[in-house]
Amino acid sequence: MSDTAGSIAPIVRQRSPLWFAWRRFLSNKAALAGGIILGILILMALFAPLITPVPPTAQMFLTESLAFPSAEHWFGVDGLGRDFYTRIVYGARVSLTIGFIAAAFSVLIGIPLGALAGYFGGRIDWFIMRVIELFSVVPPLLAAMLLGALTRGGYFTIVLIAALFGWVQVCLLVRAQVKSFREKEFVRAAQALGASPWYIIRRHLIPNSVSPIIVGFVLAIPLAMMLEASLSFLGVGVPPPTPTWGQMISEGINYMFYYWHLALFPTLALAITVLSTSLFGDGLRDALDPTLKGR
Amino acid sequence: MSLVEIEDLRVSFRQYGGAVDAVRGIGFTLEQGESLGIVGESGSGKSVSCSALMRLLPATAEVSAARLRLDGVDVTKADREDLVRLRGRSAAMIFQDPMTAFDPVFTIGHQICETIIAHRGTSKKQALDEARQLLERVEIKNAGDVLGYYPHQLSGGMLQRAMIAMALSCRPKLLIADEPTTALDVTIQAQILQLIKDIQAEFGMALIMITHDLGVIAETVDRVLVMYQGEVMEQGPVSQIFDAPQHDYTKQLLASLHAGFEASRGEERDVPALELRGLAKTYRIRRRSGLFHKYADFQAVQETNIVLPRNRIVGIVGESGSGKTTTGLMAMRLTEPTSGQILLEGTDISGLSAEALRPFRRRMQIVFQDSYSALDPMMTLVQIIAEPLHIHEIGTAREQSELALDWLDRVGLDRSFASRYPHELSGGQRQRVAIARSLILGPSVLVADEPTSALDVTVKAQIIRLLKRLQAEMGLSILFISHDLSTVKSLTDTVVVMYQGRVVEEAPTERIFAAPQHPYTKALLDAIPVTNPRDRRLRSFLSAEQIAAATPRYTTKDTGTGPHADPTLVGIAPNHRVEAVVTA
Repeated sequence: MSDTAGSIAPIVRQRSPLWFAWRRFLSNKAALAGGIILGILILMALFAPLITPVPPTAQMFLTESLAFPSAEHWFGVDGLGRDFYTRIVYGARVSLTIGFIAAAFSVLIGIPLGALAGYFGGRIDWFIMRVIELFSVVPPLLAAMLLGALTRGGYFTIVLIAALFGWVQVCLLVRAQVKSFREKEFVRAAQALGASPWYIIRRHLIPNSVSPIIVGFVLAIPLAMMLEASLSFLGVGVPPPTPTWGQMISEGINYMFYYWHLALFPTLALAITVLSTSLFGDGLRDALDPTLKGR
Repeated sequence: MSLVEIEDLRVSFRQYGGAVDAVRGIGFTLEQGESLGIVGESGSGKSVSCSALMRLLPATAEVSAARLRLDGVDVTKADREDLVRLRGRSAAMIFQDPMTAFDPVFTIGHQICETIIAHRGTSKKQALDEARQLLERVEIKNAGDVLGYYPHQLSGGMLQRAMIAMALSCRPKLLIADEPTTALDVTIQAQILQLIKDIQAEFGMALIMITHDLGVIAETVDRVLVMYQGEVMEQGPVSQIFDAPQHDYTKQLLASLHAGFEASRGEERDVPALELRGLAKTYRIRRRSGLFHKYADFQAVQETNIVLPRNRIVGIVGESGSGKTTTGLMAMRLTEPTSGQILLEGTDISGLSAEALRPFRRRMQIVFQDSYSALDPMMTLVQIIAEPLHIHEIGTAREQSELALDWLDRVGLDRSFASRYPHELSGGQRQRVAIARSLILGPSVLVADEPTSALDVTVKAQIIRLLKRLQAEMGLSILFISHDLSTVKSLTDTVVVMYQGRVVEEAPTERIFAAPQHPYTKALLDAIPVTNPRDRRLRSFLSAEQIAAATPRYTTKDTGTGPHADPTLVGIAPNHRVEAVVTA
């Protein structure tokens, strides 16, 4: 018997954890479909001028106002003579950017606070938890309406409000993960090596929280988009004439019983986006859970 | 007709890119009342074959056999009803980790009764009554109370007894014990093994004992099957396996049982590498009484003095809860001591701030028991081994990974492992990585906290040899913590025995084995499994009160100190101290 345990190990083709994650993701058909639809939506938003016939704010079809869908106007024409398909595609720009920027901010605020609360515990944890409770007891829509009315709405206010309420989820997820990992022996080993708390958080605890972070990120996206839609619907969101789905739903409702298409298409667009993001997020979370390796 | 008949059993598991053959055509038979030991390292297919016999394998497993019969039933063709009868009445199983084998949200009594009612349809009251009798049979003293306890209220040993009671509840013809003592302390292991032997004889059951430890085999069974990589290497009566082993692997296993003493080389210098002076740890426990909380003190470690000379290996031995791990963590300043001093090469580090401690961290390191949680799952091996260099900012990134690669070599792993992740390694390989990480800074003191207790016997021997080699190469001083005296035999120079938070005996290793003085040390030595089935004996186990009553007594003439009515540590020979009462 020799001291070379390494040499008798079976030679297995090397697979990184990401490879297994990718395989698991591919096997989840719903998540895959969600991801593909989300990808198409992002491409549509990016290349909106190339795939739409007219500018979104041009009232070029006033004579055909409120026309039903046809070969020329796929989603019809709205009350002010604008091509509705064009406006839906441009609306994706607003919804998606608000979604992604707000989610990015949520993660930026949530990770450090969650890691601090989870690692140090005690007073810091107490304080952060109380702040979180403060944000959880106030209904986001109510607070958003108040803030929106005070600042007269606008694009950045919505991003700000969405981030302000989105980070709570990320923070809680990261905190739970950090709390369970800080008792592990590899953290002890790093402490025994003289590593500072910052080093341990940065190098060990945050990488190990990567799956809850991604989940928090993906879940924050539809939340922000819904918030934007709700605020625009209530009239304190992005000001017209910038096309947003919430605004279009709000206007469409007035015509709903006579001109169904004005309410249906923006609602459908919002529903499809939110659903595909949620499915994609679910699949991503399952894929990144290494305990599911092998299947 | 035999109770168990297995012929040409093959099991493979489907995976990405093919199948893994776990069992490759094994066969054996077992008669009523016979006992069979299956021995082999982890991954040799010993548990898988017995799970196949009970049809307990996951859906990814493909089982084929020329013959697979249990109690006259063809297991491969058994339907749901046959299976219910097989599991429980024909054969029952006990598992390695009793903590996870019980459902934490039900009481022990409920879970045992459930089994009795399900298989025999008796009334609840009768079932409870029988459960109590069974618990009494497995030597649980307050059986009536234990029925109402939840699993977390019992110790590992007690739970394993309750598990055995549950297995007995259906009067099975065959008891399959899958590593029943691996998670337990040596003293408890000896008790459980004796219990299994007793009830096997009393109930006339057949027994299959699955283990990686030949000592357990020598203690319990009549016939042995040695498995290696899914194949049977050798089978025969237990005495034949021990006296005339045929196969190399069997010889290797036997060799790991017979470890001799071996002193560390290198000179011993004046200033010890590590000295613990009056180190103590008290935890404050909050208990509820009515509306208020009451505080009580729990002394995890009473004032201990341990000296670790340079170039020497000192073992701390004791059962779980004896305070040995806490002592190790305090020595590393990972747990703050309540009082006392820690002298690292003559410098007291017990009061230093985290910043001031940093340079000293390079000189002392620790290896943990659980190699799985000791390595960051998101980092490659090279990143893990180079981490100490990264923390202390030594060298460039390139130099760091070069040195880490060298260390992969030094701990006996191939350089091609560099970009692997911890979950791709076996337990022994992970422990090698952990050792490399702790030694890359070239420390002078290493605290090894049960580094081998989760490992197979052969792997354990390899890791101990590795530590011994590195100790000699680097001039390390090692504080080796273990619950098992037989593990430290070939490694340490001095042994410190801890019991209930205090040191009860300290002596050179050879002397501890030759002339133990304290009753607890004797109990630990007695619990070590025999190395040959001929030496089997009936053991008597001491309770805590009996150990306290048997505290050795010396006169002032023996010790040269004044009389003490309370037990205190006294020197009775050079380097041999024992806790004793000294009379005038």
